[in-house]
Amino acid sequence: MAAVAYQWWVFLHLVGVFGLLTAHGVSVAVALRLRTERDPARVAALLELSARTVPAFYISLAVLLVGGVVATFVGDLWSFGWIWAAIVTLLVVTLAMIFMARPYYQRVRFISRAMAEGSQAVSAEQYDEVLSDRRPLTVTWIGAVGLLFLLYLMVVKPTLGMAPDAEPAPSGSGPVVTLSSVNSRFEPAALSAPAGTAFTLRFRNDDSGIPHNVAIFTDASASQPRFVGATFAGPATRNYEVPALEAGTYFFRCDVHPTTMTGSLEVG
Amino acid sequence: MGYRTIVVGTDGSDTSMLAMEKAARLAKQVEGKLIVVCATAPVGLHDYRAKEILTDAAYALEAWSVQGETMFREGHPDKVLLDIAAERDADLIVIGNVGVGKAKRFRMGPLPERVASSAPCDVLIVYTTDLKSEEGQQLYHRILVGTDGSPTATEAIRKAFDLGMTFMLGVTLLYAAGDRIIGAIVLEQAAKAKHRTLKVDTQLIDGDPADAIRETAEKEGCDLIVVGNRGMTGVRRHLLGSVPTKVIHSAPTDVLIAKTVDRTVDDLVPGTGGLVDVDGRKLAVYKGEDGNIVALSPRCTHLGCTVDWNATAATWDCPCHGSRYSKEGEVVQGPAKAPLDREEL
Repeated sequence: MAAVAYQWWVFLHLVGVFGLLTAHGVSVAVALRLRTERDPARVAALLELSARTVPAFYISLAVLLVGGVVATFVGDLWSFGWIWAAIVTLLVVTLAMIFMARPYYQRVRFISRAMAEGSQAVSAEQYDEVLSDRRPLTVTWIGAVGLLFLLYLMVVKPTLGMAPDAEPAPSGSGPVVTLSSVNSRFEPAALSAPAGTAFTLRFRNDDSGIPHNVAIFTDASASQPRFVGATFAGPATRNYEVPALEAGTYFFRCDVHPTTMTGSLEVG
Repeated sequence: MGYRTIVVGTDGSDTSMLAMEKAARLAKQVEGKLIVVCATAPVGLHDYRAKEILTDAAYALEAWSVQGETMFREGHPDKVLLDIAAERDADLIVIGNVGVGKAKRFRMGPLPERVASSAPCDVLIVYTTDLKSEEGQQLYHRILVGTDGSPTATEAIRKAFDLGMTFMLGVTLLYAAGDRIIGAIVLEQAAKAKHRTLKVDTQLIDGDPADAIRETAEKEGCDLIVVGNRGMTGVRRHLLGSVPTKVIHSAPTDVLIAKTVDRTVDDLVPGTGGLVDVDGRKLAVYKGEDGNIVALSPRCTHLGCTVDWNATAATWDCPCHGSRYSKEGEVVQGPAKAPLDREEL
């Protein structure tokens, strides 16, 4: 259950990302257009257009945050460096926007509107100076670099020296069966365990940033679970304490990747 | 000029006598009524002494042929002044600047400042440090009013222009908030609100606003400074120190503190709008020339910022993304799409 939910939360997160890029793309276009536009009425109209996309931008940002944070909880990713690097990056970019971009554009809007309404207080040279300020370009660069860095974090998922304990000691007293995941495949795909006794399933997930789990069912229809392990992202190792099973052949799979990660467990 | 009822406090001291003299001359010019108040605590005035002071005051009023009355009440001077101003629906409180200086501050706190920060009306702080009577001279020569483009400053300017028209004085309009381009526009827009016969001179100065106000007053020969009362109460005052408070402490002239925040519907002048307090609710209220009232929610329908009155364009403007609404709350300019919500008074 939790494992399937993970993918949907990531989906929601990406919906937020697409919405944010679409809405804020308008503001980026306006920012670049203002490098050359010098007609106050047109500048005011462009800023109004940009402001119109702000509600959609904030809603997207909220969706992005909810999807991302919940996915991090569901996938148990809080102990990874790249998650924290992404949060810090988002924070830095947001602060830059609030303290550099916002006051600048409020000032430009005030001046442009006054001029469009016939103010004579500002000369063309002064107005050109206001619009030629380096600040909006700096902010645009901060946003672009921040976005690229976030993309890098999402795709490469570097641990940045911060990853969960790699090798926890088994806690149960029974026999230990080991299983790993390499490139989203179970290794080995066939396991064996003794019947009638609880055992430790030591699962090593080598796939960096990808969440997996192990769920054991009576057969390949996967309708009757005998044991469902917690989902976690690699690289990490967890010890699942599996209760005693009767002799027979069981089916196991990863709930996140139910079609590609399957195997059989021989209990006897 | 709307100063129909003026309240002035006295304790018989030279400085308070000067304040009373100024109040009386002002009352005479605007044909208002003057209430002279004497409070007992904590100065330790004996009742008979207080009554003596008030008898003298009554004689003085008669001599100046000013309509008025005297009142004696027990209690702290600031509380008594504020109570009587509220009871009598006063339009102006006049006090001397005693207690503003350092010596008296520690003993009883700055009385003028305390009165000004919680007065239900405008407060005139008369500069009496020189203890020089100006009887027989012109009441004022030139008014100075500072602006930062905020609605509270616009309100103070309106008051200064009003006074300028009443007393036939020139007004110096000062912008000292640091941004010269914004300043030029703000001054241009503020000066537009004046009557064509009023002489207004604008000044754009860099530096600390309170210092700029003091220096400009000296340079331009202004003897009355008008400021709004924003920033005199609450957290802002303690964190930043407010311009009005600094001006009271440093200006060598009279200071009129116009009530521009925490106003009620009654405080609105016909033909203007403002954020007012209605039974604890903050509403955007416009009062028409005919006294008709339009009450709106001040919440911008774009993203929920608080709109404020723009006296130049006679619109409600949102500071966040520039949405603009008419007096009736209809959208004049985006990004907002929906009108402001109507509210019941």
